[in-house]
Amino acid sequence: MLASRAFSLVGRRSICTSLCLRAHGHGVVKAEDYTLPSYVDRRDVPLPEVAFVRDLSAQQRALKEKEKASWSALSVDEKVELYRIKFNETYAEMKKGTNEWKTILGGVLFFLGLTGFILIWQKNFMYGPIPHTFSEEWLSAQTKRMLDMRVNPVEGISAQWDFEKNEWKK
Amino acid sequence: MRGLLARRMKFHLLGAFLVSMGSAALYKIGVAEPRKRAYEDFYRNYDPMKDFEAMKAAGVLESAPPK
Repeated sequence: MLASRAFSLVGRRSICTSLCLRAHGHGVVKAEDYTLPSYVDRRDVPLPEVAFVRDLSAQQRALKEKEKASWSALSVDEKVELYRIKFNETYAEMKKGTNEWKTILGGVLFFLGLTGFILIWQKNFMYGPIPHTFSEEWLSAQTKRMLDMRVNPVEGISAQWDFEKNEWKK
Repeated sequence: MRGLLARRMKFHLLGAFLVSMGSAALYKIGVAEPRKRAYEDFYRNYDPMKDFEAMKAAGVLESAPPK
């Protein structure tokens, strides 16, 4: 109390702690929404911490009163309304797929195609000539040397060559 | 709403078993066995000296020139 009196000398609103608030009769700070238990539509949470609809209309409040009596007195529509008050989506609605995969696939293919264009442009306008060791003559001489050396004779290149007939095996 | 984990677990255990055994079996019959047969066939009538003479004649052996 002494502290709040001292503060009132300086200026009532200039410095105010929660103690001060309590002294002036304010009470606890209002709890933010995100700190309270919340509703969630999840397949592995069958009964969320709170009902979906927080502030009931007068009609819904009347229905909630009726729910306190025998349930066989409720019509089907009323039961559905009670369900919708408590839950947002049904399990069927929750599990329903979306068409998102089409968007994703389309985006992926689009960017792949765009990359293709970029690569073609690069080959045409940017890169220099490839090494001379890729010419036809060099490659055939290279292959002949590999066959002479019997490279990979069991399952590889020398296994595909017919050494008797001097041609590739059929 | 009951037995959700049990059902999922049963499905996935069976699936994992089948997929792993299946892929091992496929590898064995698709890759391992043909490779073993290829090596068997290659070495059944393999004559290393004939191969050596052929390589020598082709001129790829630096310490064993053709002539």
